[in-house]
Amino acid sequence: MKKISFRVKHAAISVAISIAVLVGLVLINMLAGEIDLDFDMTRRDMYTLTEESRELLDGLEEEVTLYYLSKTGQENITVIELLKQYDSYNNVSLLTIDPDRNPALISRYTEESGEGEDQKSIATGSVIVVSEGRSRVVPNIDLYNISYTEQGGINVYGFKAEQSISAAIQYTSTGEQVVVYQLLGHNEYTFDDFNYTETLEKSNFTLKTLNMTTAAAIPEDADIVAVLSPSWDYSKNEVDKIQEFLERGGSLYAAFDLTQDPLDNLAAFLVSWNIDIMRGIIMEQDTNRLIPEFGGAPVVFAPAYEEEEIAKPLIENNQSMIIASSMGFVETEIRKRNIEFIPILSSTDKSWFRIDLNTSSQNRVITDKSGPIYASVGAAEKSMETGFQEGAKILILGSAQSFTPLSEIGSLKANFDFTLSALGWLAGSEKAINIQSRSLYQFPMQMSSANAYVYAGIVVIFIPFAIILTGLIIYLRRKRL
Amino acid sequence: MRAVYKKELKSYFLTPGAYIFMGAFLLIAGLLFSLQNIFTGNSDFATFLGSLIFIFLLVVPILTMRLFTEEKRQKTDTLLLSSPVSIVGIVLGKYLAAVTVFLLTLVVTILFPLFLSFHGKMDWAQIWGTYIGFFFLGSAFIAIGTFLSEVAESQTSAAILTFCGLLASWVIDYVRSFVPMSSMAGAIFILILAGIAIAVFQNKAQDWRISAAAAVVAIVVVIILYFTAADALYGLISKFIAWFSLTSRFQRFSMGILKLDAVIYYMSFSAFFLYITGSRIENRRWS
Repeated sequence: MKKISFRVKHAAISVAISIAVLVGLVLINMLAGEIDLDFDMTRRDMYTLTEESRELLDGLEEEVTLYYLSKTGQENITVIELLKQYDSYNNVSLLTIDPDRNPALISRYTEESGEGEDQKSIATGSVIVVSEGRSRVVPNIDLYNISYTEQGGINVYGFKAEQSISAAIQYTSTGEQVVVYQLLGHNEYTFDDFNYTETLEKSNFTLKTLNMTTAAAIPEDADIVAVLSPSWDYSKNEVDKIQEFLERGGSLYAAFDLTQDPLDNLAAFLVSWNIDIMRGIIMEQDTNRLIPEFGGAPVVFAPAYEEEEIAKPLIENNQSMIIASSMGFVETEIRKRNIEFIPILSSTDKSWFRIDLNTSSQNRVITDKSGPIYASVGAAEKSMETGFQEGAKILILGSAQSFTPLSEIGSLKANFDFTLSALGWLAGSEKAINIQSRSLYQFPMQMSSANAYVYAGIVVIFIPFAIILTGLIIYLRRKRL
Repeated sequence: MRAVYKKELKSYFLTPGAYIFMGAFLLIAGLLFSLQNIFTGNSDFATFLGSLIFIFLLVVPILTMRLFTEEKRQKTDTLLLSSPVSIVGIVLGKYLAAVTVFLLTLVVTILFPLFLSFHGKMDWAQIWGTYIGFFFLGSAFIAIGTFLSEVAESQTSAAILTFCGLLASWVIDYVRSFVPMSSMAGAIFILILAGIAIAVFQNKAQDWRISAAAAVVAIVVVIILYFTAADALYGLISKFIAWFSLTSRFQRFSMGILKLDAVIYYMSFSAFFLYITGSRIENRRWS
């Protein structure tokens, strides 16, 4: 009996200590989980929210819920790690939802994501952002930058989840969107012609149209007006309406193509913003910037980026825009001091500008002007006291047709990203979230095949066999002793 | 502890053990590195380290199989247990010696990204972060191997047991996708765990009355839980398995996130296996 009670006591103590050790370790782990101390070691701070998102989240007054749709154990760690950053803010809560277990919740937001035939199912891996009775579904495909190869394969080259989710939080929590009026009445394009509408709307832009021939003024709710390749000139009265809108602090996005007749009223209006339109075509000669798909034609080229803020997403992701048959711009000789002229895209110094359009020669002729030539410029009002930009902004492009799907290469992602970034710049950071996507490209390596064989020889043959040989020698020596 | 550590480390380098481990590790790593980085011109070294973790399955058994089985074979275990060195000292000394050999091997692999850096820019911060994770993951695997070396009677059985143990921890993530998720499954799972604990107790204590009482309490608690907190039981098996997944925590390191909780997890995982190794030795000492 005594023996049994000793065994029971010994077993109980042994089990109790084991449980205590286990509980202790679990508690330490729970504590470490609560502290949640992470260091983002990635080059592009992939899992750290940008200043823009942090400001948005700090200023949140409403509760925001992020539903991440995933089956248990199948979460995408990259997405989850970013969502956890949002979750660390007081007004944001993150819930991982198994779509199979919550069909009612999913169907509620499926209904809100479209109507009738447009209604789409919500894919696993998507994020639903809900706040103040508003919701936005961020499909999993919108968390990445994707391009398609000629063979139809998918190339994922960037991670843009922060842009998509922050834009959705801004919309759902405030209901505010950047309202862009696309001006009509002169045979203009709309963003629909560029296939940009859906993606712009997901980035918090509300697109509307306005017929300038019948409108009394630019509506009060407009943040930006877009003039996309008018076929003929605006009347003086129509230009005045744009000028009046800019005086109210609005912004203008304009893309022109070379027209039969000059756009005199619009050109005169731009002069008042220190911008001169150069009628003609930029011809690039730098072979590094010509496009093989277009047979190296000098009128189709990849422009250089002059303005860092707008071009940043393109520079980061190593993307090249393509510009075709672009007019040029130059700063006026007589300038208003309160307006800052901003070069945005340019050709190289090997380029020239063809003024005489009756000349079909691909070589330089005497009437051509030397490059570089600006293919896109901006202008911004600035404070005479502080020197900082404040008030109206305009951004002009010399080729609208480059934004339509091109027959040789289709719709160019870089051109869209430029447009999105440009509209974000025009709207200002307080209205439009404009966060660059994180490039998933690795640093390129330049290694000759001779070097590669030498390194492979060292790591596969020399090092392992040197170690094994050393071991063998020591073993044999000791065996002889 | 220091004496055991020194003796163990010396024995690693005076016998083929360390050389076979290092040679095999570096040969496999070198092959993969050549194919994945050198010949493809890929500078992503963190992903390479991430794909290398399967190597532990093959080489950790080589490193740990002799830790305790060798003492048993040479009958020096009794001598060791009766020496003035504490059991903690014995276990830690042997474990740290194995970890040192592993660390030395890792140091050699720093040559790999160094070679790449001559031909392009490298993400050094991310590489160091991944190395830290790789080291702690390897140390946790070595702790499992240390425990199984104590359990086994011969080096061969220790190596096979360690391989199986590591394989189990490896496939745990795949198993997660197939386990039932319902609350009922969660409840049954708790009952099975309680049953195992009671069986261990019964084996030691040989008192069926206490065991039966514990079984009744467990059943009542699970029934109450099932009817009051069914949501907490949902997916319980998957969450439980996830807690034992060493490799899923490493994914964060190879993505470039250095997480304190993952480091603490690996350290406590190692500590737990070293603790149960010590407990077994303690039991042996008094049996």
